[in-house]
Order: sequence, then structure tokens, then C-alpha cells
Amino acid sequence: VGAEAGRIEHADERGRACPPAAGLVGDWEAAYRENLGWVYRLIYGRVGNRPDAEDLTEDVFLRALPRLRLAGAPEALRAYLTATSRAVVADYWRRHYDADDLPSELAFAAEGGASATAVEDNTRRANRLLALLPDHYRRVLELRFLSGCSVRETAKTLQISVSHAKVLQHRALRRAAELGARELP
Amino acid sequence: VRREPADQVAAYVDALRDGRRPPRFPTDADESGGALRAAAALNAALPGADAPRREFVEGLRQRLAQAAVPTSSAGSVTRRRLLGQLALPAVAALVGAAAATAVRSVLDHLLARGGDAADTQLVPDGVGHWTAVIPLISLSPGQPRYFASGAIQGFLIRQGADVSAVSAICTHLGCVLRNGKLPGRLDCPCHGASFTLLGEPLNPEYTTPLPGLRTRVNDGTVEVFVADV
Repeated sequence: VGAEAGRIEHADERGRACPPAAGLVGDWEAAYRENLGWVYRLIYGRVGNRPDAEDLTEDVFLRALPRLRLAGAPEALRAYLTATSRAVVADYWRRHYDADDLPSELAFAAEGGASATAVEDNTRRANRLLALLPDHYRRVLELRFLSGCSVRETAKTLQISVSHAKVLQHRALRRAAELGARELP
Repeated sequence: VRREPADQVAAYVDALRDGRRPPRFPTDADESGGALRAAAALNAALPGADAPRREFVEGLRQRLAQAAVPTSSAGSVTRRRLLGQLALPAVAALVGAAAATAVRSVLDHLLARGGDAADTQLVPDGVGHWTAVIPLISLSPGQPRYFASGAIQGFLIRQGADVSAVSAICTHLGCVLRNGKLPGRLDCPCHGASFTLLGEPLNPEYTTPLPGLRTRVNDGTVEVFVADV
């Protein structure tokens, strides 16, 4: 990296080193460090597990590597990484869950729009989703996702059967998806 | 026996809660497709759950560093992997014509023979080399994993301690296959051909099997014999 930076920096008449211009080789490691965290969190919030989040994040950065090496506007790189992350996530759902018939306006895939590079905090996003739900649906999802209860423990807490707890969880998640599609940006 | 959607979703949520890679299964949009996405979003609710591991951050930095130095041999492996992730026409434009021709001639040979290619290797001796593709631990048993390296695209399949690989290019008209709607199958999105994980054709209209690729495990890393580029 140092050698590459040396190639593009040259002293001007006053003896200062010119900063790299857009389109030239920049410090890709700095760009990586600045962007890795939010890209990973964006993807994690959409696949919900570490192994897949790591694989997809790697895909995004391998694709983005040529752009990481260009010294350009940080906003342009963020916009590119956001778009690439969303494309990689959409492909993930299509390949593994055959979800390509989902309406594209479904919030989890299509949020963003004008503020395409603003990534919402995952905790706030999840809490907003929970807040949309009626009490009995919110309760079962809070037990499962926030309290870490198994289905069996959830059933016991709610004094229902295990199979009923599974059905309730399924309905609550479907309802969250419906309400999220309408209410989230 | 088809599992009830509520059971499938429960198994999916269990995997998320345990930090495991969740099971794959086809969903329909009204029934469970949205539910899985909601579950994925909710599993990021606890503060800190979505922080990347330090080992991952450093490991990826090192892999990118290799890819960023095209002159070293280790770097060229990753660079080829990078090429493989580009769209097919872009790869064809970028990789050496010789390798592309070698692969094409093997494919032509297969197509001309029509069938019985389970023992045929896509990359014969003398025109290829071993290349690292993926750590063995990141392959789930029975779950095909797409990879691309240079002019080669394939699926790796782990069965116990063994790893096999077949070409990911449909022998009908060259579309890239994808994981099937049913487990244990590779499906072509273009004209409906399907193959087993061993490359055997399942649809009577398309009878040419997928050629295999030689694989080996070297120090915990899966290597595939790919065409020289």
C-alpha cells in the first residue's frame, strides 16, 4: 500500500505532496476499516446470523475491492457498498428461500430510497417492528428473540401447548412482515 | 413428509438463536417468506449482536490484501476468485482465451457424447492446477456451495469427510445452475433442467450429466483442480 501511495503522490513546485486525486490509487485498507462495520451490520440485520453475514460481507468486499483502491468520494463508495449489499442479500433470499416472488416493496429488502446510504441501527429497527404488533404477538417474539426462550419455555410461560407456541410465533412473524412492509420506510 | 410451515419457521428461528447457519427451504411469499425476514431482523435486536468478530475483520483484511496484489501466487488465486464473481461475459473478456477454449472443448466433447459423463472431469490433467477455494469448515454437509475460480464455476458438496465438486454450468445451454427448490438438487433457471449433486440429470429432456471437478482437502482448505488461466 505504501509503495502504491508513493507512486501517485508527487511533490508540487512548493514541495508538498499532492493528495491523491479521484480515480487514482488510494488507501484501500483505510476504506475497508471505515466501511466494514456498517456493511456487516446492514447485512446481519437482514440475514440474522453470523455465518451467512460473514459470507455475504466477504462477497461484497471482494466485489468492491477495485473501488476500495480508488481514491474517490467516500459518499460514492458508501452508496456503491449499500447497493451491492442489498443486491447480495436479495440474491441470498432468492437462492436459499425462493423468495423472489416477495413484493419488492417489502421493507426488509427495499428500504432506503433517497437516504440509500443511511443505515438504520438494527436494535431500533427491530424494536420498531415489535412496537407495530398487537400485544399477544409481540409477547411471543419478545420471549423468543429478546429473552432467549426456547419454544418449549415460551409455551410454558404463555401457558399454551408447544405446537400452539410454534403457530403463534409463525403468525406473529408473518404479521410483523406485513406491518413492516407497510410502516417501515 | 412435508413439514408444517410453523415447524419450519421454528427450526429456522432456533438456528438463528443458536448462531447457526439456518436451514434452507423453499418458502412461498404469503406463507413464510416474509416471516423469515422478520425473524432475521429481530435476531439483530440485542445490542452488540450485529458486531463483526475481530477474527473475521482481520481475516477478510488479509484475504483482500492478497487479492490486491496480483503478482504473488497467493494473490492470483484470490484474484481469479474475484474474476469468477463477475458476470460471465466479463469473465470471458478478461480470462485468457486459451483456458476458455480448453474448457469449451471439454464441454463440446461432453455434449457430443451425450451422457455418461459422471466419470468425466471438466479439467483434464495437463491443463490445470490446484487452487484453494474455501475452508472445509465453512461447508455444511449435503449443502451445495457455489464457487468460481477463473474460467471455472462449480458446486462443492461435502458428504462427511469427503468433498466432491461438479460444474455449475448447465450442459443444455450454458446457464449457471442454482441450488434446487428441493434439497439435493441443482436446478437450471433457464429451461428447467435439474441434476443430482453427483451431476446426474433428473429431467428426461436433458440427458447430459454435469462434468465433475477434482477436489482435495489440503490443511483444512478445499482445493479444486481448475483450468490454467
